This record gives sequence, structure tokens and C-alpha cells, in this order.
Amino acid sequence: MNDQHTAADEKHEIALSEPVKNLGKLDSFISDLYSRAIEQGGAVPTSRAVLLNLVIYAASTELADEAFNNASQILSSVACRTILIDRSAAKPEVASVSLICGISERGDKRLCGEVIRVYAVGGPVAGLVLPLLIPDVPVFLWVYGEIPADREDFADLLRVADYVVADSRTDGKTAANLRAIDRLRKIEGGKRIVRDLGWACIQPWREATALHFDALSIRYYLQCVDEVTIKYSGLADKTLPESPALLFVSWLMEMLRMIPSEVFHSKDEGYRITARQDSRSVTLRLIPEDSSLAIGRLIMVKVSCTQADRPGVFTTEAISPTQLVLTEDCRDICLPQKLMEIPNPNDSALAASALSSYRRDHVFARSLDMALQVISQAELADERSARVRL
Amino acid sequence: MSLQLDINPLREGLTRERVVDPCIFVVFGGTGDLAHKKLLPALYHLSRADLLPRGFAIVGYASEHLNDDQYKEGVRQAISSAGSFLPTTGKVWDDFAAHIYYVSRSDDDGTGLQHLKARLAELDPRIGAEGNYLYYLAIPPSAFAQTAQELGKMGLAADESGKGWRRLVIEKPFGTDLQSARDLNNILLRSFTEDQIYRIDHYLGKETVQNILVFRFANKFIEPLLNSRYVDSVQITVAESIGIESRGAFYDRTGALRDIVQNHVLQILSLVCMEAPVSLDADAVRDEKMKVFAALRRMEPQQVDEFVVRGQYSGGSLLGETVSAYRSEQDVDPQSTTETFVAAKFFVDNWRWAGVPFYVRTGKRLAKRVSEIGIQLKSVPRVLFGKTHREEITPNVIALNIQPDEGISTLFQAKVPGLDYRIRPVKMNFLYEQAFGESAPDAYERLLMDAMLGDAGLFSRADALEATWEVVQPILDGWRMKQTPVYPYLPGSWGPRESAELIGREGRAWRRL
Repeated sequence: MNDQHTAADEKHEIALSEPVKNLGKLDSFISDLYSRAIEQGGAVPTSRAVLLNLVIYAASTELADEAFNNASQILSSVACRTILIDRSAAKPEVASVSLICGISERGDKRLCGEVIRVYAVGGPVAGLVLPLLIPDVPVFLWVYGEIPADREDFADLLRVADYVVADSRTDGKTAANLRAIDRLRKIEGGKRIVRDLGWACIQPWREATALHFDALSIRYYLQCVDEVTIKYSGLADKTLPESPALLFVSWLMEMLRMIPSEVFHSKDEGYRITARQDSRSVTLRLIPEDSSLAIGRLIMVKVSCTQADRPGVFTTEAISPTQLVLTEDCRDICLPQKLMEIPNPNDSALAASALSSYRRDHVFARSLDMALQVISQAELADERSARVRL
Repeated sequence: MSLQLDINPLREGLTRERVVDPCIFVVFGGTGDLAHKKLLPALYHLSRADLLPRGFAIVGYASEHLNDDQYKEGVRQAISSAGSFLPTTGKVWDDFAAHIYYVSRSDDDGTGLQHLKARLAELDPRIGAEGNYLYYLAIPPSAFAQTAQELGKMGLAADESGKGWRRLVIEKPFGTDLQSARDLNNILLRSFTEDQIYRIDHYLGKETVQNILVFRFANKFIEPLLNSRYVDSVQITVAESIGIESRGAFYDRTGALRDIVQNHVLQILSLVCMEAPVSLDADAVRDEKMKVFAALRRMEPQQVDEFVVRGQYSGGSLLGETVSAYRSEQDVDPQSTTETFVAAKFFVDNWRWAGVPFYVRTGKRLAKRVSEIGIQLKSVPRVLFGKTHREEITPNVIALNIQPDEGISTLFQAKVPGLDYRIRPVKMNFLYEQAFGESAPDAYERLLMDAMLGDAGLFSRADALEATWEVVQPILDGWRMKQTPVYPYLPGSWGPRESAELIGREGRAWRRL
């Protein structure tokens, strides 16, 4: 959870925020908020057409505050009703409603949406949430923080959701988080679509890596890759989120039909994977490195073909949080260096991208399977070496 | 299983699974208005969105003596004044500018396109274009044929190795009448094959025009209504509040019928009327549109006054501002009879649409800028409501708003709260802006991308083009034969009175927009 924004920025402002004592009268309360926002002057506030319900589950008030800021940001790109469940704040009121408005692109309207923060200390929450949902549009459940898989209230909410958004980067518990996400996606025969912000944050890196190999003349290097080096930000410690780097390398192996044969992992040195592509051996390294970028973010991806008749090195490197540079060193048609601008990968932007598609992401599912295979092999290797030491 | 590399395997699941091949984009008329105001800004936006390939070059080709750097500077200024929201300085701009080159046509005088050919041959291996060239003719229509022929003669219309693609994009007007359209097609087809030719109608690149297909074929509730059993009539309006601006010389030779009806309006009509294509492949869509054009009734020239009204704006006041009459505009003949307004009634003589009139109107200096398709359903067969007097029931309308408030609205009846059955029409409105909150890409961005991707679905095919001219030609002939008057209308109105009479003869009225 890095690179946070504050709730009110240049584009969006909180027009009004009021406590609610009776959730049964929420609709008239919201209408009243709009009327009062008109009295504030400026462009007339207009309610956006709601395309989805976003339910955010936050286990603590601290997380709920952070989630509120992100939810406010999301409203600038996703038209949704947001219901934020704060499980720990004890308040006299049952909820509060905030009207978040932004100016339309033409500048003539204030387009608004509402964030309903429900204070639900103990007790079931599904009964609080269900009456507040806008009918007929999908429900996205964003698990803010660790996945509380064994909590009954969470299980109740899960039944309401069509989509679940989780974050495999939480607290650096890479293996546990990825396994929890895998379990989430398999519940009830896999009917629910699960998104992972750890996966969403590597999307620009996948785009950039693909961009290297779009030209047919260069694409053939993909069948002679023998070294891949991926560097990610952060000093090795137990909170370092490794899931973006791990999902990235898993994606690359899955797409290039590489099968991992040996995996070694340590928090200090990251991952070293030996894989086979057809009959060739490929070495893939994931290396944590100190950097000014937020921890867990990718810093550099280098794909090398050293043994080929035509050696080539294809590098993508972050030069700032929003800029990647693509360089190539090869004998054939080597294209000039390219600068690629990417969106700021803060949590609200990542969540907005996770909410923007209703499709099932099969590539994520396959990459997650591969990542779990890599983790299992690393754990097995760890066990073996522990036995040898004993 | 070994790796398949006919497509980039790393693209699977990404937003763009298909990408443009490395290529060279040649802009004939590279210093002209169209290039400066539309094409180059669109290419810049595509570049910034990383939608162009890394191996990419833009070659401007025009008569001015310029070197690459001078041309780049002209492009930079043009993009800047075209209102691009992207910076035209610094690294962002430099990255784009590195792809821009220029060849002067004057160097090619008497040599065909030798210099251009040499430059393409020099650039091709540097960017890995592998013979992929797109020629965009942003030049006067009178030069289309000659340029296409020269490209053919120089061996630039086809890649000798057979590996690369060559595409020719041309802008409307495609001919000035049926015969000239046929002649132009014949000449183009001597050098290029039909699948290499992309006839651009920028209206088809508009998001809301493309949404007509989505609205019709991704929803179950609308399609069963769209036929002569339920639809009373369809109105298509393409209205502008501005005059002809600086286009006097062009417009006075062209008029609203050729400028708007023959292409934009009939294309929209075909999207409203077509059957569902078997797929979204270019030819599947265009085959269905072609069937509509084939079914459009060809009127006899003698019938022109029965089906068509033409008008011309006079001087007056629009929103408090004094505006000139058309005949007083710059580069317009003071005795001109060119129409700045057309209202017409068409019929699509097929099973689905038999007997349903399609009223179209388009013009300059009208009350407001609005483009809309209004589908009016038939009235209910019997009015149940009201005891002492029957309630007037306004028929349902489904309106597809193309611009400026892009969206869809429906008009239906609702009961007024109270103890009796009083009913009123109410409007249900869907606005893109409120739902998605983001602006659609410019029509040119979509169309240029499609041309580079080789997707011709939004471009006109030769047979469709000729078919639309077959519909329009009798109107032109009728006006000429019958000396039909051009009715004057006031700026800020909805056209001449005769337009209201055209639709009023059958007890209908133009929608109030």
C-alpha cells in the first residue's frame, strides 16, 4: 500500500460528508446532500450513472481511512456506489455518507458519486450491505488488507460478490497471499472472478516486455532466451512484497512455455529458477535491490539470448515511478531507445484498473498457477537443504 | 509443445492483443490543413498511447522545399495549435519527432516519385518496416487518380518481395457524381486491389456511430422492434450551427447533398437498417451495409420535389450575432444555387423496412449543432386511459445521440401520480459522460489505427460507394432538369418552411432537438 494520495485532489473534492443515523432513509439523505451541494454554488452536481457496486472490507479503522482516500480517487474513473465497511470504529452513528465530485471533461458539470462508510463493529455485515447495493449491476468486493479467509462475516460478504479484488503484496506474505487468492478463485467452482493488485501493477511491464518483440524479425529471439534477470525494489526483509516480481516471471515462463525444474529462494537473494524451454536450459533470477521506488515494484527486466547465432539483450528499466525505458542490444534491426509513460501505480489507480474489466483473466489464472508451482518447488528445495543441514 | 511465433505470445491477455506492424506512414499533402489539423495530431496521440509500433516512420510529402528538421518544426507548431493536450517540447515530443521525415515533391518533378522511393528504401531497413507502407492522400481529390497511378508505375503499390503490405487511404469526396466515382474507382483499381484501398469517412470513426452496432446487436430488447411492424419512421439529423467558414471554394462546388448526405447520412442509415453480420470482419459488416444500399429506393429525377427539399441560408442573426448570407461568404458565387440544407425522404425497400420513411436533414447555420437518429415507434393500437376524453399518447421514441451529448434516450409514457389515469411522456436518458466519464478517442485516431492494422470494417468499399452515388445521382439530375428552387432559410432556424412541409404532408413533424 504505497504512493497514496489524499482524498481531495485537483480533480476531485469531497462536496459534503455527513453522519447517517438511519440507513433505511439513505436515499432521501443522499438526495438531500445533492440539494445542499447545489446551494454551495458552482457547477450543478449530477449523479453519475452507476456501473457497479464497490464494497470495501477493511479490518481496521486505519485501513478504512486509507481505503476511503482510495475510494474517493477511484470515483474519478469508475462510476460506482462505494460501501466501505469499517469493522473497528465505534461511532454513535451507523454510517456516514460523503459526496465526492469532480468536474466533467467539458467543464460544465460536477459529476458526483457517494461513498457510504458503514461502522460495523462485530456482528454480521451482509445484512447492512445488501440493502444498500444498487440493483442489477455487479458487486466488486475489495478486500483491503489481509484476506480474512476464516472470518464468517467475510464469507457472508463473499456470497454477495461477483468479483473480488485482493492484494497479494499485503505485508510481504507472498506465498500465503497467493495461496489465499488461489483459494478465493476456486470457491463455488470458480464462479467468482478474482483480481489481484499485485498482478495489476505489473501490467505496464508486461506491455513493455511485449513491445520489444512485436516486430516479426525480433520475435524469433523469444525461442532462444537463456537468461532473464528481474530486479525489484526493497531491502530483503520479511515485509518485502515479492508477488509482483514472482507473478511477472511466472507470466513470462507461462507465455514462453518454460517449465521450472529447480527453484531456490532466500529473502536476501530472491529467487533463482532453472527452467527448460523445449530442450534448452534457461536461468531466471529475481533480485531485490535498494531503490527509491516503492518497495516491491519492479525496477528492471532484462531478457537475454547469449548463446544464439544472433545474440540480443532486451531491457526495460524504470527511470521514475511513471516512466520506463526500453533498450535493445542486438545484431539485426535494433530499434532506438524508447520512453514509455505509465500511469502512477498507486492503489487507487490499480484498483480502478481492476474494476474496469468484467472479463475473466485467464492469463492471470495461468500465471498464478505457475507462481504457486515455483513457490512449492522453492519450499521443497528449502526443506531438502534443511534436512541436509540436519 | 513448442513456442508458436506467428503472433507475439506475450500479447495474450493484454489490452491490445493485436498491434500494428512496423511500417512507414506516407502523408501526401504533408503540409496541408488535413495533415496538420487531423492526421499528425492523431498520430502523435497514438504514439503517446504506445499504440504505434517501435519501428515506425512518418514521411511527409508535399511541394514545399523543406528538410526533415524544418518539417518537424512545422508539425510541432501544427500540433500545438491543433489544441493537443500533450506537450510539444521535451522528451515526449523528441521521441515522436525522431520518427518524422520529409521528401519534397519538387525534387520529384519529372521523375515520378523517385526521391520518395529512394527515401522509403533507405528508411525501410532502419526501422524494420519490411515493405509495409501506408499512403495517405491528404491532397485535393483531383490529384487522387494521378498519385495512385504514379505509385503504381514506380512499383510502390505492391511489395516486390510479397512480404510487406501496401495500403492507400483516400479522403472523401470520392467523386462528384456517379460517373466520376466509377471513373475514380477504375483508375485506383488499375494500380491497387480493392483490399488495399481504404476510403475514409471520419463519421464512421466516431464512438457513438460505432455504438449503433453495439446497441442493436449486444442488446436483446431493441432488435425485435426495429422493423416496419413497430417503427413508424426514422429521422436522421446532422445539423451544424456554423456556416461554411473558410471552405467557400470547396463548398460552392459541393453542397450539402454531396458533402454530408451521400456519405455520412447514408452510412448512418445503413447502420440503423442493416441485418446482424455473421462476424465483425470487415467484409461481413460491409456486405450487410451493401444490402441496405442496394435496397435504398432510387427515385426518378422527376420525383425530386416530392422527396427532397434544398435550402440556402440567408443573412441574419444567430444567438445575437450578425451572420452573413451564404452568397456573401468568401469564395462563394453571389448568384450561387448551391444548397447548404437538404431534407429528404428515403425508403429501404426490403422485407424489414418496407414502407417506413427515413427522413434526413442536414445543413449549415441551423439552430444548433446536433447529430441524432430518432426512431419513432408506431402508436399503441387503442388508447385505454381517460374516461371523458382520451389521453393524447405521444409515440415512443428511441434516440441515438451522436453529438454533442453522446448517448441514448427513450421517450415513453408514465402515469402522473394521482387518483385518475393521467399520463405524460417522460424521457429516460443515458449519457456517455455520466456513465464512463472519459472522452472517446478522436475519430481519426481510430481510423488511422484500423488502416494500419488492416481492418477495413469502418471504410467504404467500392460497390457501396457507387451504390450511394446511385441513390444521390437522381436528386442531382432532378435539380438540374427541373431547376428546383433553393429555398432560403434564416440562420438559427431548422431550415426552410418547405422542409417542415415535406414531413408534414404525412402528418409527421421533425423532432424538436
